[in-house]
Amino acid sequence: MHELSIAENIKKVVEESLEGRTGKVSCINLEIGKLTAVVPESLQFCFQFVGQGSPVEGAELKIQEISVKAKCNSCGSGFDIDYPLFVCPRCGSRELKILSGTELFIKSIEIEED
Amino acid sequence: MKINVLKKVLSANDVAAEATRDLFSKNKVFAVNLMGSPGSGKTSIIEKTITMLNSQYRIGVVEGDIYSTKDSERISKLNVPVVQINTGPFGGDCHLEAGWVKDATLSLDLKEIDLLFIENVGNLVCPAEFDTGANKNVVVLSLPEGDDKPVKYPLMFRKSHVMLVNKMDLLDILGVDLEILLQNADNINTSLSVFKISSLSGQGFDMWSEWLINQMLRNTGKQ
Repeated sequence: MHELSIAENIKKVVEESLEGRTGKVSCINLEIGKLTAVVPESLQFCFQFVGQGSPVEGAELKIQEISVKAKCNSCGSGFDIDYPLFVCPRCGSRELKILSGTELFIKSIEIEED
Repeated sequence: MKINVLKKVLSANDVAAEATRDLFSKNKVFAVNLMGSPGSGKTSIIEKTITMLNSQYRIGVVEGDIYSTKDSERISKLNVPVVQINTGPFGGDCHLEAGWVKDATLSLDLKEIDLLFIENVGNLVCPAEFDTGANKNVVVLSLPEGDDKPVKYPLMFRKSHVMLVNKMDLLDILGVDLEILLQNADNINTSLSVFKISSLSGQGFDMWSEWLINQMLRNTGKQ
């Protein structure tokens, strides 16, 4: 359900980054980490409604999902976390540094100028 | 034309959360964000904690709910300042955002509060994504919800500093494997502080209260 808030925030950030440019936003490139609680399909659904009557109406959300990567603080090995188990597969330590997977970024937008 | 943006989607909330924390810090308030499923016992835990600590410390409560004022009515019976945020007017949101918490606390006299409970909307998913501006996040997991919740909602348990395992009085009746529950939580976040409690029997509230008081003194510099 919070995808609605996230969709509204995306619209706000995109409108700000237009900085007065006119034209229609055709595409928004997003990076969303798998450790966020965001369901891409729900976000797409909510965004259709949020965008209505604004420069982002009809814009495509291109979502690049980012895998969860971690580094072990004990033995230094790096690995992907594909399952909710935050344990080093090499030494069993639970003291990890999360390197990626928490992103919720707008990378870029594409606009069709009038 | 392509424009590089490189901005966090929730940057507005992050900025608001820092401003809210500054406000708490300026007023020497220690704020705790309580999250958990509907029915996990968040309000009962706040009630019980208030009755235990009310004579020594000044407590305030921010209640988040989609529509009702039921929780704030319960809390106000304990004669502590309480303010209700209904997310209904904002579109019935399933979580609290930092700006709303800040606006709500403006109606409280923060200088007269040592410990502020923020009761989030009952939900294990959405509140984890939004920093409320609290100093610490606490997740309440009650035994009837089962031992697998940390694995199913990893972000919530990663974002929390404390896990309160509530309704411990039901342990024998439910036959929940507590060891598996604790192992699951440890597999997600090994730095979680865990307290096993029961709002009904009062079990574990001495340790939980002690943690709250220590954190409050450390965060606010009060004696």
